[in-house]
Amino acid sequence: MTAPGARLQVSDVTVRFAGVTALSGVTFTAEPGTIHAVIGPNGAGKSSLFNVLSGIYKPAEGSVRVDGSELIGLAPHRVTALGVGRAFQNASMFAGLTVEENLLLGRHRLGRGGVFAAGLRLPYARRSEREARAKVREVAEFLGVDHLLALPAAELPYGEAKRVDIARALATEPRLLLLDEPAAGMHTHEKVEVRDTIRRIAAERQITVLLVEHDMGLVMGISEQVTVLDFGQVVTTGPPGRVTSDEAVIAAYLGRAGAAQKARSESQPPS
Amino acid sequence: MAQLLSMLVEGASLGAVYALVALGIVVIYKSSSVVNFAQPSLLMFGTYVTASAYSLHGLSFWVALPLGVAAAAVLAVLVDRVLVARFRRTQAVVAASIMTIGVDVVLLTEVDRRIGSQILTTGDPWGNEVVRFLGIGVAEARIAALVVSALLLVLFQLWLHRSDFGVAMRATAEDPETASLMGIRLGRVSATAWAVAGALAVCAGLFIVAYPSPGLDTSVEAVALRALPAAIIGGLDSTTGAIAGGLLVGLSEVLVRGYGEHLAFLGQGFEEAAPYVLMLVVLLARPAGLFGIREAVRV
Repeated sequence: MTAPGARLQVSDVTVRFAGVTALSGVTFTAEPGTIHAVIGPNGAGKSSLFNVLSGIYKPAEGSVRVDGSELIGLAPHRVTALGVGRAFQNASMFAGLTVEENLLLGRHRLGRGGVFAAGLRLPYARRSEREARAKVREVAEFLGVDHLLALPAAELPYGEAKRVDIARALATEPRLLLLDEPAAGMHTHEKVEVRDTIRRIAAERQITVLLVEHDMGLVMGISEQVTVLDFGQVVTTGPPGRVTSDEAVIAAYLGRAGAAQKARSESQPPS
Repeated sequence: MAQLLSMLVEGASLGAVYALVALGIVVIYKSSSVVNFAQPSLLMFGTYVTASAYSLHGLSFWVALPLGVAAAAVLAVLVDRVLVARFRRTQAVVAASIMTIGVDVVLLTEVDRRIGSQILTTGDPWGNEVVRFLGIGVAEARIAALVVSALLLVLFQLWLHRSDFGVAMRATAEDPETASLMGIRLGRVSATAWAVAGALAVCAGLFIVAYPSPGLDTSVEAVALRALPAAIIGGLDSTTGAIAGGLLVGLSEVLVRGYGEHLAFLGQGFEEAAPYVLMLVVLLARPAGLFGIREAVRV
């Protein structure tokens, strides 16, 4: 029913801030319709990467292609039009709007003389508004937040706000969905819900999901591929099973000493 | 009693006109965080186009009116696109606001030069006949101002709360970066706000020059400037506030003028200072204005 997921190709992306290199030659590919996680310690460059992918940062070098279309250099609203949706780490809802209005924003395109058409309530504007509301309701039902539509967004508890945030990103009908720590600050049973939601987005809607998350159980449980970042560089990309046993990854997470210790304990079986 | 009632009607009518101008300032502030000090000059420019189309080129009012409204809207969009947009990239909203003072001065100088010592009429259809009701007499033009302004204000509020664009604008006012990530074109939102502000200013201008002024002359800009205290009294980020602020400024001006002999100790012409005194009093009690939202900043 929705457009199938996009292939995301990130090649040699380098971002520098006043001499500090936040990302250096980052390269990986997320395949259409898969769940691809990006992990790494704090400060590894995950947020910078997301900001590049949504058009906020312009990298010094490199290219990002969504189904072959170059994304770098586009304004954020054009990136959205390209089929990239984003949910936020802190679920930044517009507090002054209702939940439904927040979701309608995801449907918003001020194209084709929309201001006047909407103001004069021309038939086609009315039709497109009806379609937008229907789509919003459908997405809200998909995520189980349809009973919240009439509420002011300011009144949402944190967990609900995170779900509405994902719904808002889905309302833009993305082919690539960027999820920034969807399980952050959640209880165990809420995390299970988040996991199922992400699975359903990829499986039922064939949307490519790029996931940044600290909860390793969640990441390893649902991702097809995992890219590990450290100090702005890709340590490795591979399926979860291989990544967890990668020496360099363990080093990144536990430090060199930790890796050395693990290596020692493996070379010297306990007596 | 009758005197008070007629002053209240006149104050409300004048206030509704101020509210139209103030609303333009608020809409621009909400969509781009820029305070548009050039609003009086947009009013003068558009009203001048209408007045000169009628008085100097012999066009009918109903042709001259849309010409003036469109001219001010186009000029406002140009100011936004050519000048203000440059500041948007760096979020230098204070610099952009101060620049609009420059735009105001330049534009007013040119409009004043063209008006010279003439008094241009706009050929508006509301006459100066006095309508009598409830024992008071009110000029027809004042009633037209009140009715038309109220209608425009209601339409505007509906538009802001019902339309797609209204939702986009309220979202942009809250968080421009997230709004742009939702696919909202910030440039469009801002340009639309400027166009609406220009158009509203001209609608107000036509009523200001209809009565009590005999027509458009260079003194109208001082009247138009009172929209600024109106916007600030109401709270710069609140459209409801702009309407309330406009009414308060209109009422204070008319009441102070009406009871002038009792306020003689304040000197003559105090009604022109009254809106600004009122603004100071309101700001002392409520720094964000009557309806403004005090930004809660976590430190």
